[in-house]
Amino acid sequence: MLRLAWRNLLRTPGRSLVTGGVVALVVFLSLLFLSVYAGAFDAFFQLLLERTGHLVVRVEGYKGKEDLESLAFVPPELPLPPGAKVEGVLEGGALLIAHERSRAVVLTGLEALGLARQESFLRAGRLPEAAGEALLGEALAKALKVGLGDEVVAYAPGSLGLGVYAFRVVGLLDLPETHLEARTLLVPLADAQALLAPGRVTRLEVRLPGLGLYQLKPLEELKAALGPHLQGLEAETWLEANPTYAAIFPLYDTVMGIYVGFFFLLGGLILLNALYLSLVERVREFGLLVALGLTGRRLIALVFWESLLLVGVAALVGLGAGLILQLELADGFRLPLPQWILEQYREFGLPEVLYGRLGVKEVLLTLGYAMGVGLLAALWPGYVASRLRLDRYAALG
Amino acid sequence: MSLLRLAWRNVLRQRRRTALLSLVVVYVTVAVLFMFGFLDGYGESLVEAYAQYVEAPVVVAREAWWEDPDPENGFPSLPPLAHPLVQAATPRLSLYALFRSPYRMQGGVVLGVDPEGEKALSRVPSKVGEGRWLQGPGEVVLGYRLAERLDVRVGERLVVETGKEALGLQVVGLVRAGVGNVDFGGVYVHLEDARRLAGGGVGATHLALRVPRGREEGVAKALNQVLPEGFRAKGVWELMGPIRADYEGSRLFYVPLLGLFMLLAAVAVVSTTYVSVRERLREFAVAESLGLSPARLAGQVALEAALASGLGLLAGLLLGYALLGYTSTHDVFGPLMRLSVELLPEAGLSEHLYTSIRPVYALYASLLVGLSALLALLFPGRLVLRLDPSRYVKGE
Repeated sequence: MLRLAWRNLLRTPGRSLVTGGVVALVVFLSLLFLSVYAGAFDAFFQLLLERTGHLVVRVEGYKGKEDLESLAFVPPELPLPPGAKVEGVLEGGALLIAHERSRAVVLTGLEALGLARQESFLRAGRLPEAAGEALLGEALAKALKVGLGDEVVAYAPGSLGLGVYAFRVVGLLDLPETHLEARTLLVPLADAQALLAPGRVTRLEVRLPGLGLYQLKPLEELKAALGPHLQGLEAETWLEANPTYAAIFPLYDTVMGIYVGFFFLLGGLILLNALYLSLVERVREFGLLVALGLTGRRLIALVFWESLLLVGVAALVGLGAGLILQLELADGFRLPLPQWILEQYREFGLPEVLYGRLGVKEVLLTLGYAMGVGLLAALWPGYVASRLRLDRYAALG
Repeated sequence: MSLLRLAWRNVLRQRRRTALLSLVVVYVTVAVLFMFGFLDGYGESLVEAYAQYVEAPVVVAREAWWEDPDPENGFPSLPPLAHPLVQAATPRLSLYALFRSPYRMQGGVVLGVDPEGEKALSRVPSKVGEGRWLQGPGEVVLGYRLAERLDVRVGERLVVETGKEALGLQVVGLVRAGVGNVDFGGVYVHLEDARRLAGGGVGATHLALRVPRGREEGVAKALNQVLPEGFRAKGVWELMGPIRADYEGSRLFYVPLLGLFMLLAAVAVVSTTYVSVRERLREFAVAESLGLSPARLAGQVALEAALASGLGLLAGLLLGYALLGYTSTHDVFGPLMRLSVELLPEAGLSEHLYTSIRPVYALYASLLVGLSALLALLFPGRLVLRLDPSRYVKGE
């Protein structure tokens, strides 16, 4: 039966090539789409992970608290696994004043490790090395008309600390998002504490070396282990700490499934058309086969084999082409869009260079769709073939 | 006419085959209509959000302010404006400030407005969900999400500081606009208060103009011809933030994709026509022997492809426009948009998105019929052109 099905496909090479080509194209485009989309998501999530660390420790019920006094806490000692690093961060609002100008800023106090992570964004100057030195977003510096070496004053009335603190600008940062860059002031943690809340932090960031982006299980385990040591505090994974992104995460598979499904529905309709055409062309031949003793069930099997062979071979071709392209995409690529659009996408945290990712799940989803479409498209032609009556074949013959 | 009738009869002879290929065309037609409706609806929701809530249809300011939006680059008096399409104009003064409630502090942009002038220009005054719109100095209206963050309510006081001046203002209203920038960051004060906060000496930073919808860019261009040197008008598309790139990028992505969809559908139509022609070569030979020219026969094949895909097109247009009709009046994408607003509160996205319905989508979708006919001429049509009637008539 398999050999017969194969021979039937080869008898109409033009049509088989066109239909198979459509299926291969659909498989190829689906893989391309999934790889690019996963790459974009990875970029978003990587940025979040870098900014928050793997685990974030904050005051219990922090979402419902508004004032710095309720949000700031004295950092406890945490029993962390070897290699893990914990950094204290103190974040608060302030008005940054330079001469006649002022801008509202988010003032963030970072430890030495946190400041060192900003090195890749540094466009001028250096990292703070002593008290009273600050990093400003380039857009903020431009708005305040200040440059390296200039003095700015942070004014934070109503805080627990001094409320006013003078900083010297030692470095300018080029952050991906201009709206963040326009309000970013990074200072040493001790300075931020002196200004806002002595001895306290608003969050602790725990970073675990060698842990992949979506490896959430070890994080859950560590979170559970830290639980007894967090009096009045709570730990969240980086995804839990960003609830809106966390809400999008489960939608990702569904949205991708629907998008790829759109492609395959079209491919399936074209396949159905080809199978049906192939069937009506061979009515006499089917009559002969029935006369020779082929049952209706075996006729259905013949149509199914033709469909599966066509889809299988085409899917493999599409898969091969998709995987070859994936090798290129995994090394980094730019979306084929005008530069001004790519620059604007940076404002949403999407870097210009993305890295394609195709997991086993994506490949299985695509192949599953392909085989499913192959089977579904063969249902009706197979049914029609099995219902053709012998006397009709005879009349045609 | 007889050729058309003949083609129509042939299309109806194979009803099941015609139905099958029409199904492909229906699917692609619905996809084309829906995708264009969605993209245009998205674009319109962005234009509406920026023109009616976040910015204005047209904004006039000094070149220096566009480069550096600080009050010191504002203007003491309003520039002369002469354009018949300008329906209303109101001055605004925007400045950066720190907002302090008894519990929380946050920075942002204050917009000083003329309360009455603003009513003629923006929908924000009509979207006050709690309390009322501004009436005079000493008052402030906030986006409701910002009020939640600052933990202030109507009747309470909010301190606004700029480094030069500070004012304690009474919260008189909370806006629920359904647009991220307004709900998460909107702070509206009286123009006089804004002038005081800016330190005096500046009347306004920019002038907001209302012009008929769709004429924003044209009016801005025309104004730029007559405005005094150093001033520049921008239409709403120029005022949009980075979110415009998302819209333009989506368009650049989906238009070629839909082109590919249409090509594949046309291939399905032509493949069916090809089989049909091959089955009927003897019939074509007889017709040619009776005097019908090969070119007319090839034309008949193209006509058959066009008619078969035309049937699918008609059904697809009915279904597609029905779908657009529903999604243009029902907020199907509301949950997705609300999630997007939460994710990107400063992008100027609206919490609602309704698809657009334009007759031109039917024209885009009908390209599929033309494409099918063209391909039918190129492939199955060639079979007829190469036909040797004597061979087929003899039954060889």
